[in-house]
Amino acid sequence: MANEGRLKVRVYTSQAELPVEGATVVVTQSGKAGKYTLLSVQISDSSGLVRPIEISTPASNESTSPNQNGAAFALCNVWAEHPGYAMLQVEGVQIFPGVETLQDMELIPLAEGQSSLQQRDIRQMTAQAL
Amino acid sequence: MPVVIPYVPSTITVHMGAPSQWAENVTVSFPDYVKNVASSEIYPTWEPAAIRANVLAIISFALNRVYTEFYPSQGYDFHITATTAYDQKFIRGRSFFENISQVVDEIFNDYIRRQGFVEPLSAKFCNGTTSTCDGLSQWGSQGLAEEGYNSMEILRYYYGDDIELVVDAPIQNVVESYPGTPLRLGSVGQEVVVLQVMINRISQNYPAIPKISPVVGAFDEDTEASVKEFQRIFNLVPDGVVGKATWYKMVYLYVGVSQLSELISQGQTFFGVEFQFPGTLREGDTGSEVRVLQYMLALLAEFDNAMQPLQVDGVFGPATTQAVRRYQGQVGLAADGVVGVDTWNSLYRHFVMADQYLRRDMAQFPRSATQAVPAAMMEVGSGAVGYENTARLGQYPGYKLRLGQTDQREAVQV
Repeated sequence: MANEGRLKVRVYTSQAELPVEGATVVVTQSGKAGKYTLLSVQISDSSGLVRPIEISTPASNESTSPNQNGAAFALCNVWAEHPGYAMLQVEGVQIFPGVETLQDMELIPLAEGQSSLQQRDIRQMTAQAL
Repeated sequence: MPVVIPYVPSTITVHMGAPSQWAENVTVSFPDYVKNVASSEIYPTWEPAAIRANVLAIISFALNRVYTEFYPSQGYDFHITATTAYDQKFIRGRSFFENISQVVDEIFNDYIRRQGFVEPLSAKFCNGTTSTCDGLSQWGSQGLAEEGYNSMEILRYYYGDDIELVVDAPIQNVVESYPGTPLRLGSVGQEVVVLQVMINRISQNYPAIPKISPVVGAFDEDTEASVKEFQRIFNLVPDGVVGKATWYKMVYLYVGVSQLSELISQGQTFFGVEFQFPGTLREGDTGSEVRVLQYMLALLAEFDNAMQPLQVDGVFGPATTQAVRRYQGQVGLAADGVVGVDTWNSLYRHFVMADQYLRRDMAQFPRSATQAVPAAMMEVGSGAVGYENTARLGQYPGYKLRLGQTDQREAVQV
């Protein structure tokens, strides 16, 4: 259990937060030389949720005091794709030891004839200025 | 500023760039905004007390921006930016941390302010290592929490001992302070009080604008003159009518000159609320609300023999009850001697009108300010002047006027 964090993903659409069932949710980690490590591929359930994913992280003392050399957190990428919606890729999702991270994936519906793989929205998250 | 009681907006609109730059506006619910900022500013592995202190600072800062109408008064269509150079960090669509989320859900309508001030504290902060400032240090707060400080102790350490926590602030939709219709000569009410307070404060820095005294909420000739001067200075059409443009220019300047959106704010004190319905008053009550009631009754009694002269002492005794009954009988309300909302508002309308006409006259109203003016109104208006200068030509001079009377004053009036 030590030095692991948990990632929860919820897929929905519109401000009313209607769950999107059957979306493919992919969690990866960027490795060296542009390689990705696949951590999980799941299909969202009727509530738009997938099973929580455990991800290993740096030790907690890296993030509780300043002037640490190591990274304070682990990073991963979350992609969600469902036909009829623009694919959403969120990069740089932070995972901290012993903390549950909730990533909401709001999918935007597409007009007829557009492909979910061509219309994609990539969001790069930046880290805290600490 | 102009909404008297600060509130928690149900949603907040965030501009994703610098204020004058084109960028997307994102509207999110207020708790989601706070969760997002807290997750973007600090680490979730910190001590619970440090997280709480930082969340309270974030909430107070955002509420200060909403309360002071910092960006709307400059003509922008958002409440806050996502740029750290101006405001606090917000990342669209980012993840929240579960523990931060729980804290926010619990306290999102709490904020801190300085004792005696209304406005939420403009609680600035910085990380404390690579950048330092007068406000809270984020790493410092974590250090203090590790030493066992609780969240309020941490906030007091950085913002001073005179801050206090306000819990359960009202939640409502975003409201504009602008009353919706232009204020002009003859307008009466709370909005006019706000307007007059703003002009008086601005005139401290722009002495060409005449001060308005006393501030009672009637838009009279003096107010119009001050408004015209304000409009002339700030290049607005000097028509003496306070429409949206004039109103927001005033809000902008008021917030600026009183530094309400700075950590070293001069503070917004409660004002004008003395003349709002304070709740039902009845025999046996005491306090400043009773003083205000008695003052209004006493002033009206000066002009109407059917009403009873009254001592302004702040105690709702039998004499006050009788005066209230007389008044109620006269205006056609149920004469029960209890001041409910109908009686109060009717009395207030008559009082403001009488007061407005009085001040058009030129003679002095020989009434001691300490006796007549509720303490709070004195500090609200313009210092110790109070109602001492209220003109009194319309009052019965104390002897009968008859044919051949030569005294200029009364003869002219009659």
